[in-house]
Parts: sequence; structure tokens; C-alpha cells
Amino acid sequence: MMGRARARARGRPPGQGAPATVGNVPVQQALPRQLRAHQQPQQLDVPPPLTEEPGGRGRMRGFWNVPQARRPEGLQVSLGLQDLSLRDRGGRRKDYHDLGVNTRQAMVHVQDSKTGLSGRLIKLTTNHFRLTSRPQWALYQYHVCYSPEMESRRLRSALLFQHEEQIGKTHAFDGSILFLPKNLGNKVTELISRTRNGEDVKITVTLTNELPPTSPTCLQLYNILFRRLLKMLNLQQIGRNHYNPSDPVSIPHHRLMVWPGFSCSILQYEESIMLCADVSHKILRSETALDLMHSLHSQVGEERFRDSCAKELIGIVVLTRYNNRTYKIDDIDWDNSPMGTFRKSDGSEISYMEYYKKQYNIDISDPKQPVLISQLRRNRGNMQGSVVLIPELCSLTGLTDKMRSDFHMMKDLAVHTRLQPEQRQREVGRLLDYIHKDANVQKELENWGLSFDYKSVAFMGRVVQGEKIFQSGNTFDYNPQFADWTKETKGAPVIRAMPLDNWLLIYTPRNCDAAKMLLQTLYKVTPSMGIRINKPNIIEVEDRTDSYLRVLQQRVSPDTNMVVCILSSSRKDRYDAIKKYLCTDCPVPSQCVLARTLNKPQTIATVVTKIALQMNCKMGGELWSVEIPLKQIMVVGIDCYHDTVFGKQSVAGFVSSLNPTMTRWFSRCIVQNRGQELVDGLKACLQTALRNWLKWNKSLPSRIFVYRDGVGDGQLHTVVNYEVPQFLDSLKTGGTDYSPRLTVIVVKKRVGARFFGEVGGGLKNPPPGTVVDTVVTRPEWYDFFIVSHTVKNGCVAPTHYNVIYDASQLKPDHLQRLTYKLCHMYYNWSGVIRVPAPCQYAHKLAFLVGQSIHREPSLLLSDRLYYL
Amino acid sequence: MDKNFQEEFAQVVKFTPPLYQQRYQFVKDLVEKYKPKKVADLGCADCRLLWMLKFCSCVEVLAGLDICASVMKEKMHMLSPLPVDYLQPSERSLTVTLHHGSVAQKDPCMLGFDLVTCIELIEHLEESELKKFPEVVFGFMAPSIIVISTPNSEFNPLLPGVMLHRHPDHKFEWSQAQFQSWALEVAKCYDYSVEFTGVGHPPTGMENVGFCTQIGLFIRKYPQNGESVQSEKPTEAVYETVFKAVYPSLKDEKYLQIAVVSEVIFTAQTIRHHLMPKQDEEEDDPERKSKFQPSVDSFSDYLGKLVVDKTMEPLVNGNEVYIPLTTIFSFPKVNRLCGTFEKLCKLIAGKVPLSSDGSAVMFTTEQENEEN
Repeated sequence: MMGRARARARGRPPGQGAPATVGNVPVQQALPRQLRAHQQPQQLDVPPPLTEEPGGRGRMRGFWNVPQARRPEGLQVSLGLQDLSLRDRGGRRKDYHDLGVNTRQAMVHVQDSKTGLSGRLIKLTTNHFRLTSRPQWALYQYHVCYSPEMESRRLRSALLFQHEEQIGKTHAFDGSILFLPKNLGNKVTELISRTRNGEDVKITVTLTNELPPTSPTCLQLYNILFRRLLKMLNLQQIGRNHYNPSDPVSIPHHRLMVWPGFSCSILQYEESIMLCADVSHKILRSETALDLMHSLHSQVGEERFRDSCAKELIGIVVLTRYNNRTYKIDDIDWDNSPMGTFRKSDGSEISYMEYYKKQYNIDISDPKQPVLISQLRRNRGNMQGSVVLIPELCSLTGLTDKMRSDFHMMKDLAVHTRLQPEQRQREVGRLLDYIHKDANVQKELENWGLSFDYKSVAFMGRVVQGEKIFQSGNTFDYNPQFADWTKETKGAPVIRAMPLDNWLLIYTPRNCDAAKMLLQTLYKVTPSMGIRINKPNIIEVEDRTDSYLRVLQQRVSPDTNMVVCILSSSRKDRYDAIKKYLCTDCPVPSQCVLARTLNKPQTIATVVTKIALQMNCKMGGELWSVEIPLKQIMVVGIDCYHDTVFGKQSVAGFVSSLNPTMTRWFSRCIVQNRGQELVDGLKACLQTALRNWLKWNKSLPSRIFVYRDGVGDGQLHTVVNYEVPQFLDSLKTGGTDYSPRLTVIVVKKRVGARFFGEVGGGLKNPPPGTVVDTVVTRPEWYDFFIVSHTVKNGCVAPTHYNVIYDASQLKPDHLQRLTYKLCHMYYNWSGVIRVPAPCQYAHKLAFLVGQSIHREPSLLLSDRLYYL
Repeated sequence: MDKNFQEEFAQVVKFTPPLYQQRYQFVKDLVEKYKPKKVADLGCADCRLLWMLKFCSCVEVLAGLDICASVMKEKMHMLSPLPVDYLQPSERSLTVTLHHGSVAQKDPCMLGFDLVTCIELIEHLEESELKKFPEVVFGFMAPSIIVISTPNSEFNPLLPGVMLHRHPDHKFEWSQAQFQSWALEVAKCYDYSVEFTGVGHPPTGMENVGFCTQIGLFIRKYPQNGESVQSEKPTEAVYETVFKAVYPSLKDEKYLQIAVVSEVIFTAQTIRHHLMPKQDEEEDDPERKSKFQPSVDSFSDYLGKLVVDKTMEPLVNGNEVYIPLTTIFSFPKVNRLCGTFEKLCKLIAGKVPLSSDGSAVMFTTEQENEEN
């Protein structure tokens, strides 16, 4: 209970992936300053040349999701294509489908087949829809040049389309490259256009390429076209996805609005090009930043007002009332106000109030409010800087951590956002329905000679066998449907029990009863688990952070096994202070318990059992194991935590196995400031991990499996080209005759694919252990999906595993099985989880350090799961 | 045609702000002055003028017409509602429609407008079209105000590079006298008054050349005779609608209801929290309570609007809390949204948990405890 509750309170459950605040970050195109851009409407016509730069966290950069309202779709196409042409010339840019990374070709053993064999077959459907083109379809690529040379892209476009009857209405043109679904007939077509100055311009249109439907260029085009279609269906684009605003779900209790929508992408999958369409929900808040400030003011009062404003607003993504952009709030300028002025491009000064009045006819009602600052993310040439936003004109989006931790709110939200398989597939089907029924959309598709299948693809997956759970001589089978063995192993002795000989119990006088309750229940539940427990040193403290700290300083000694603090509230600062002290200054395992979790007599036994197991792991105990047939292997898990609020540091957790049964782990983390590369730190971690493995096993591992989580969309390239070579390099430190077989697997939880089992005519979540390695995987990768966990509500999300480097020579089946086995080994959850245990440990570690400790914890703790 | 575009060349004689902006500003000022509800832009091209006008709060219907559909389509999505328009629907309703068609043809969708603008339009018309133009715009559409702008050919010698016309698609460019005589004649024929003005001042010393863009402002002299006018003019629809956006508005019951329900629940919660601070909040933070000052002004007088007096005290009955609707109705925001108390009751019926007699919003405290 406790672990779960905490994950919810201070983090996101593993399934949730990155916080919405990251996902929502828009593509900030590098217009100079927002304001300047507005007052020169002609700039709208001449967007800056778009050379998408790599950098930042990749997942939000797709060239086709440039905010729409200010970009005509014609231009969008051309931007995309221009980008594309850059890439074709060898330039590197970030695309969030990691299109250019082809890792399978280097792995000989999976050239012919990357599919596994074991398990029983299961009929699955998915949310992928085939895109089909007319027979003999081709995309014709033309190069267009002008004589005399014309500079303006707009002019070039205008001149070319004076000949629309010849070129046709269906086209995509970026100023020099023209794509048509039809052949103009000749290799070279010459056209004469007349400028308004009466000058004749010769336009030469030369056929340069005839692209088959599967070419990467075509894929780009499909995606661009699809976005056009979604817009024709009146869906609003926010970030990367499209939403239907005319049918909002309002949750007035929390001032939230939920817009239903879709996230879509078209990609080349194993056998065909398919649209992957998933349901997405946009959470918007029906209040402005100013509203929020007002309510904060009445809640916290004057003194803490600015502080709490900063806490609540910084990092939040806002929508502005006057354009279709989103901005991430980076700062609040309390000394400025809408009455402040800025310099327009023509040099004149104007106040924000006047500006908004003049430009958008917006009256700002509160002239004294502070202003919000948003840094432009992309620094390019002179186009860096920040944008000033008026709180009154900013609508809030997404959820803050505080809101996420509000169980009630999340429950209300889940009612609308968690869809059962049937519902989810129905919603997706609705999108396809729109596409098929809208005449304009159909016409556009027809013009391009494309169509989408009505029905999603169906295929066979495999459900691999459930694992046996070994615990101190006992073997447990669990019901594979539930993927949980809490009941089965209840009260059974654990593999390695750590005694609580010398431990502290700290609480405030108010929580005296809770402490007594905890202690009594501990005495009751621990004997059957084999945990020996002595009477603790009981300390009452005042309900203040400094009193807790003082007690810790006075009473904790190096031989203390464990410090248990009962906290009366989930105040983060107190928790942080305790953890920080006990992880760095005085490394001793600690357990914080919220008093109110001990309040309910009916659940106390369960809660305390979990706490006991958790404490046991924190002290270096072992709970259960599964059969691991491979010998001499070391498994590594890596995950990252990014400080989304202040953007200052990132933390990478690194966890590696120490023993053959994978019950003990070595944990380290890397704290890095913005801009630093992760690679160097990882190299050092791997080297110490090897040294520790050597210490424990008296030899070095012959196979190493690295499960790398926390790789953003579009970052695969970096992992393949930089991290893998570094891993290989650091293995050399093991000696000249040491050459272990390395395998690197990129783990991804946020994927668009959903699978549904067809059971008795209805759709159900596929059972845990479902493996998918055909049809919806990518031909250029050695990848597979595993559904390892279960969900109570909604749809289970499969985890995607992409083997980017593999010298293990293991059969795909064995690698899949190993991966699934590792999902059983997370000690804070007596069930199967979404990712291999080392990834989840790494996540927990990175989260604790990133949220609370902010520097690397003492290495004295590194052989224990002290961060659980 | 592409009006903004041509100015790029004319810019050698510098106009600040650019001439096309001055023309649009002229229209915008006019809209601010006359507050028309329905505005049509003939020859709307890339819809920039329509985009500017959508921010004018008096405008409820905007229509654009152009002979070239592709130029409209290129940027028509600028006219779509923004996410925020859905989040905070405005008081006014707004519908934006784009039509593909010719100003030489009558279509009933152009009837009933208050203002029709023809910015840099007539010089693109063929002679035959120009002939039909007055009958269509002045006779058929017959709005109360018409704005027509066109290049002043007398200014052309000042524009470098302009040989014959400013744009190859121009069929003619008129001198001031030519334009004025055409305009006066049309005005007389259709019972309008006309005033001449323009934008783009000539350089000092050359004032007699006149404005770079000449503008005729026509005002209908006869009053609108209402519905009968339209029924007299049975015409078939000939224009093709290429775009239509209906902005969410509080005039639409659906959005009004969402807004009211949301505001009522929020207000009720605020009152409740103010009057009965939750126990566990104190528990969370003992320091908090002492600093709780409900109506301190910090950065603005706007703050602390929430004045809650004792008469508003909610009723507590066991684990149920009742907050009278009359109290909620007294809050300015709710009041403004609903107008009348009856309307409030009607809108929230079935959407907000009420006491059995329907006079108060009801919360159950049990529900709140779950949070912990």
C-alpha cells in the first residue's frame, strides 16, 4: 500500500510515463519574438526556414505538428518536405518515430526471423489500419527552377500555380520540390508565368524521382496529408495530437475539461504501411493563470503567495487566448505588469495592454497582475529570448503534480479517460468512420490515390507460460490472469530476512496511536516471514522538520539497521529532508510512513506486511525469485528522471544484478546538469557494476543485458551511436581476454499500439505474458511487444522492447522469455510489472534522487534497494 | 487576388505601416465606429481582413467571398476557433463562412449584411463583371455600408517599377476622377451617399496626386425594410461554401450550461472551503491557518472579490452540507452568466446535486473524506 500510495503521491505510476507537462510542450518554431511576430502580419507569410534542429528532449519535435492556426496547410506540407529534403541530403534531424535508425541489419542472427516460438497462440486485434494505394501508385517528385531566379517562396509558389490546370489541384510544393500523385507526361515541362510586373518567368519542372508507396518520403507525405484530413474533420491540434473540442467533458469539481481526441501516426510496419490510431484525452483547465493566482491567494495568504504561485505555475503549459500556441511557463515577473511596455519592431514603445487591445481587441481587466515569462526553447541565431504572457489571457492545461496526487481528482478523471477495450476500439473506429464518411476527406484521399482500411488488422500473438515463484524452498503458482501472487505468498518466509535488531521509530505525540499500531502489527506479521524484530528505540518528536532532523543527527549511528518515521502529512519538504540526511550524510535505510495509512484497522495487516517487506528489501533482504536458466549473466536497468519544473538537472538511475538469481542489485545514479551528456556517467557506472559483480561472483559475467528505459522519441539514434559504443568500450576494462556478449534493449512504455484479445466475440485485454513480434513491429528493428501486467480499469498498454545491439546469440524466444521473467522481480509489488525489474528500480532511484536528494546517495547503500 | 503581395513591390515609396495594413485598419476603425453585426468581405483572398475582424466583439457574422478557392483555402484555418474559445466561450456568437463565387452573381447567403467591404477588388473585375457588380452589391446585397477601395492611378508614377498597372491581373486602374464619377453614379442609382477618402498619403508637395489607395465609403440612405426585402428576391444559391466555423458561444445553451454548472459547483466549493476549512488541511500544515487572510489585496484590487458574510453560512446536516442557490446566485460571475435566478435553476437541473426542495447545492462530506 505504502509504496503504491507514494508512487502516486510523489511520482507517477510506472505506467503513466512522462508527465503531461512534457508531452504537451509544443513545437516552438523559432519566430523571433512572439510579439514581434504578431505585429507584422506579413511574417506569417514568410515563415522562417525550417531546419529542425536536434536538441532538447526529442519527443516533442515532429515537423508536422507545427501549430496550425498560423500556418496554412499548403505551407505545412512544404515545410515538411523541405525538412525531408534536408535529411535526404544527409543532414540529421530529429523525428520522433526514429525512422532513420536501422539496427536490425547489423544483427545476423535475426536477419531471417526475429519471432519467438513458445507459448500458446492468441487471436489479437490492434489499433492499426492498413493504408492502401491504387495499384501502380507512385509519387512523382519534381524539381522546379525559375529563370530568372525568384527568391520568395510565396512568389515561386504563386507563379507555379498559375498553371494549376496542368499541374492539378493535388500537390505538395515547398518552393523547389514538387510532389504530385500524377505524372506530367514529360521528363521536363516548361511553363511561362508572368509576374505582376509583367515580367515573364520561365519555370522548368523536371521529374527527378518516381517514388514507390513505401519510400520514406511517401511516409512523410502520408503523415502530412493525414494531418490535413484531421483538420478537415474540425479537430483541434494541440501538441502532437488532435482533439474534438465540440464535445467536451466537463469536471466542474476540479475545474477541468477533458477533450476526447486521437493520436495518430502512419508508419511502415512489418508488412504494410499502417495508421496507428489511439484514443487520447487532453486535459484542460477551465481557468486562467490569473484565476489560479486569485484562488491561491485566498488559500495561502499573502506571505506564501508568490512561492505557491511559482510552485503551481512554473512548468505548466498554457494556451493563449489569441493564438493557437502553447507556452511553457518558466518564470513569473512580479515587477512587470500589463502596463509595462515593450519595443515593437518599428522602434516604438507600446504597453501590453494597448498592444492586446489594438491587435486582438482584448481588454485586460486587471492592469496590475504580474506577467509570465516563457523562454523560447530553440536558440537559433538571433531568435532566442523569451515571451511575456499575461496571466489573464493564459488558460492552463494539463495536471500539476499536486493535482495528480489528488486521488479524488484522478478518480473522477479516470472515469472519462480510462476506456475499456471495447470502448476504446469503438472510439478509434469512430475516427475511421469520420474519415470514410466525410466527403471532403474522401475526395482528398482519392485525389492522392490513397485509402484506409475500415477494419483494424488482426493477427496471432503468443501467450508465454507463467513463471513459478520461488520463496525459501516453497514454490508458488499464481493465477496468470491476475499476474499477482500477494495472496499465494502471504505469510511465507522470504528468501533472505534481515533482522530489525537496532532500529528507531520516530513519531509525533499526535501519532502515538499509529506508532503503537504499527509496532503491534509488525510483531504480529513478521515472524511468519522469518524477520526477527527487536524492540525499537522509540522517540517522540515535535511535528517540525528540524526536530526530526535533530533526532536523526543525535540518535542514528552507523549500526542502526533502519529508521522508521511516522509522518503526519505528506509534506514534501520534510520527507526530502529526512531522505536527504539518511541517504547522503548518514547512510542508513529509512522508512517513512504516513500516519493516516495506519488508521484503518481493516487494512492495517496488509499495509504493515507491505511495509515489513519493503523495509526488508531496503536492508538488503531478498523476497522471491524466478527460474533464470542463463548462467553468468549480469542484467542492467537504466532509467532517467528529468526535472520538468525547473529544468535544472536530470538524474539517471543505474541498477545492475549482483547474483545469479537476480535477487540482489547494485544501484548507482548519475546527477547531471542541463546540457551534460549521460554517456560518460553510464560508462563509469558499468565499470563499477562489473567490479561489484566480480566481487560477488569471483568472475566476470559472460553476458550482459542492458535494459535502457527513458529514451525519448527521436533519441534512439543517440543511444545507438553513442551509448552502445561506450558500453562496449567500458567492457574492455575487464582485461584483454575479457569479451562478454553485450545486449542492449531499449524499453519503451509510451507506445501508441494497443492489443485486444478476441474473446467470445468481444474484446478483452490480452492476458499477461502476451508477446507480439509480427505485423505491428518495425521491419528495420529487432523489436517485440510484451504485455506483462494487468490493469483493473481501461486498456493495458504493451511495453515495446527494441533490441538495438545483440551479441548474445540468444534466440529471440529466449530473450523475450528472459525479459518477461525480469518483470516478475520487482520487490515492491508482488506481481508482474510493466517493465523489467531493474528498469523500475532505476526509475525509483532516479525519482528519489531527482525529487528529494539532488545528489548521488552514499555508495555504502549501493548494494541495497534503499530507495524502494 | 493577392493584394498584400503586390505591396512588397510598392514599398519603395515607404508606407509605415504597410499600405495593406492601413487599408485593413481603415476597415477595422469603421467596424469599431459603426458596430455592424454582419460583415462580408468580397474578394477576401487570404482572409487576413476577416481574421482581424473576428476579434471585433460586435461582429457576429463574418463572410468572405472570393473567385479563387485555393487562395482562401490556404489560410482559412486561421478563422477556426482556438482551443481557448472552447474553454471560455464568449458572450457573443460568431459564425465565419467562406464562399467561393463571383461578385457578379447573386446568392441569397449575402443578404442581410450591415457592412460589405470590397478592398482592392473592383480593379480585378472584367468589364462584364464590373457592369454587374453594382446591381449585385448595391442592389441585391444592399447593406447599410459599403467600402470600396481601388488603386489611384495618379499615384503610379511615384511607384518605381509600375509600368501600366500595379498588378498584371488588374484590368484597369482609375484616376481619382474616374473612380469618383463611377462611385457617384452608382450611389445615385442605388440610393446611397458616398464619401471619398483613402490611405497612403502622397509625399509632401505632391498632395494633388491623392491617396495611393482611394476609398469610397457608401452609406445607404433608405432604411432596411426588413424581411420583405429578402422575400422579394428569390435567388438560387450559386456560391459554394468552402469553410464554415461556428464559434462556441454562451448564447448556445450547451456551452452556457457547461459554464454555469462549472461555475456553480466551483463557487459552492469555494464558499464551503472558506467557511469550513477542512480539518486535514490544518493537519497538513499547522502554519497555514494563522496566515489565512481571506481578503488581502496583493497585486490588485481585483483580488479578494470573495466577500463571504455570515448570512451565507451553509447548512450542515449530518454529513451533508447545503449551500443555498441564492447565495451562489449572488456571486457576480454566476449572476452574469445566468441573468435570472430561474435561468440558473433551469440550467443546473439534473447536473448539480441539489437539496430535496431544490433550493441549495448539496455536498456530502463522506465523498470528500475519500480524498485521504
